[in-house]
Amino acid sequence: MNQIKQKLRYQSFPLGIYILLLATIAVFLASTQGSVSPSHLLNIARTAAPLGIAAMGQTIVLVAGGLDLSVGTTMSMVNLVTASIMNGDGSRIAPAVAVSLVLCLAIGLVNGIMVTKFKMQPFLVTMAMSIIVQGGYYLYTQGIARGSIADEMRFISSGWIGIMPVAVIIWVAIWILLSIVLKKTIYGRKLYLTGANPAASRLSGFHADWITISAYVLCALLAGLAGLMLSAYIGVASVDIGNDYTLNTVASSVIGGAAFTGGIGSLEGTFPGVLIMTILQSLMTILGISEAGKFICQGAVIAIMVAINQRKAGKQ
Amino acid sequence: MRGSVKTQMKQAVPSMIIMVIMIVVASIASDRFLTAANLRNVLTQTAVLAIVSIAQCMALFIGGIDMSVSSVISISTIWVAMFSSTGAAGLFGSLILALIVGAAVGLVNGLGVVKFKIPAMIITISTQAFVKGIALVLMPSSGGKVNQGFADFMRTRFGIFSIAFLTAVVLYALLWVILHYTGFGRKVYAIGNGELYAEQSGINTKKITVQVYVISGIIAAVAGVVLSARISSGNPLVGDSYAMDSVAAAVIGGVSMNGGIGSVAGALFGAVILSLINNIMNSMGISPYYQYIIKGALLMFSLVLFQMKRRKAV
Repeated sequence: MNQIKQKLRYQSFPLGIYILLLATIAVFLASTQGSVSPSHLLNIARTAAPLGIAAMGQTIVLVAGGLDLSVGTTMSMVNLVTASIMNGDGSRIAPAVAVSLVLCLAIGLVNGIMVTKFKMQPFLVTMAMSIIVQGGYYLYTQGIARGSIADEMRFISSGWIGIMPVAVIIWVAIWILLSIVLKKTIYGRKLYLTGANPAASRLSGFHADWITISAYVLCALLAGLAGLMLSAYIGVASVDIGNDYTLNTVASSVIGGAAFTGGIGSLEGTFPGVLIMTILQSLMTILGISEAGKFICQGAVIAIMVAINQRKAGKQ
Repeated sequence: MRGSVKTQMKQAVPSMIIMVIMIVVASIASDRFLTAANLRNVLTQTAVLAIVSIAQCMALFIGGIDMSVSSVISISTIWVAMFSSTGAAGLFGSLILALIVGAAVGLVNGLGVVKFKIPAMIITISTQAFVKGIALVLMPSSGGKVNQGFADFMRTRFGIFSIAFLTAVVLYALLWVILHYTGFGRKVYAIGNGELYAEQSGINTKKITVQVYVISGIIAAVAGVVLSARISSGNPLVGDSYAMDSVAAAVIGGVSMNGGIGSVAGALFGAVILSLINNIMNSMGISPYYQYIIKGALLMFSLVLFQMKRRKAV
């Protein structure tokens, strides 16, 4: 028994969070009294895809010892830029997506370079970036959202292949790919080492700064993808549509065990973290307190999960 | 000596210079800027941000941060709007209720930091979300009514100063004295400069930390009360921008996010600068959307400026 306990404690797979996810689903099913079908649950997973993709980026930055508060406004920006370039025309999907992702790349690069080369607090850099991006898309749109998403692109959010929503397939595919990168490649090792101990990683001879910068770039690109997914879901341009996502990505990562000290956290934890957040929010919507309940459960969940994680870390 | 009042006040000098330059440029560029009415507007608009920035400074000085100020402001406007219109008893009751709730939120933040070892930013972001949720339950959208007498009182003017701005000035004077000239203030700076050393030299760091967050919560509640008089109603989202803006004001004013460096005086300049950006752009007829970009750029610029200076000093 002790041996099993030991094994579980040092296992990197966050089993506890999956148990919590099952418990959340059970509570959800119980409180809706059987009026929820499996396809309803898959639908919830479908709407969770943008958050899921963006949260993976946040987790990568947290693992690298940073924090990205510009995720939400980046998503909003992608939504406005994509919709205005595309304007419902399927033939302009490629340029719209390309321009959006290049902008995201630039945002991630600036964040990363400011944090590493100028040794500034990630919190402040990404907050300033968030304000600048917001100002940028306000100027671009003059506060009025224009444009819409082509039907061909809406398929990535509203389409179903067999019994699985396309959005969930994309999400899981990116999840598996990035999990392998983080766990099995040298780049992943370097990322964890850089987050856990920047000084040691610099001394061990690789360009720790560029690992951190790559984390911010990856995060911005994933936020861009999430923005595209969100745009495909709502189908139109809408000002500030993604801004709520910043805190949600942090919350999901934290539920999944990511710590703010860097080097701790995994995408296997973030995945159920995202689902827990989304299910709790749908539960609040069903209970009729969507807006208020969203914030209450965000706050309570983050505080409780971090307290538990800190306890565990303290014991070890 | 690193902790002397003079060294801490020096941190505020760049922000003061920026502020003066902005005032000079604005009065040259627009003849409407230096009118009494406009100046009074700027100062009154600054009042709330200036008061919150004190709260933020307290947390930043000990190396923490308080993101929950935004929701404390919102919920304070709601208490005042819900209960104050019935009369004097309701007004005082609502003011006291606002302060108690502010203190309670601060207590949760402080205990979360010292007892559960939760990073300050995380616990205050959680209380921010939680309190915002409760505010939305109490009042789903803007509403209620603030006691007319109270609103009029806060708008009373003496020259270009309104009572709202004078409240901020009095709070600044009070906190400036407390932070620079009392044992409590020295302990706050000591914790910011190195919590471990502070503890080893016999300071009860846990107690001081909790006290700082409680004071921060109370001051944020005062800001909410002042804001409620200005908007004459309660609003669950009205405080939202103040969490980020107060951090920006403090950082522009030379307060370090690592703790122990800076003075509340800098935060006052920072708050005035942020309000001036808005006002100057309006009076010069520039699209208000530029203010976001300028705000963000100014924040980045001050970060780089202070970071360079401090790296040289070490």
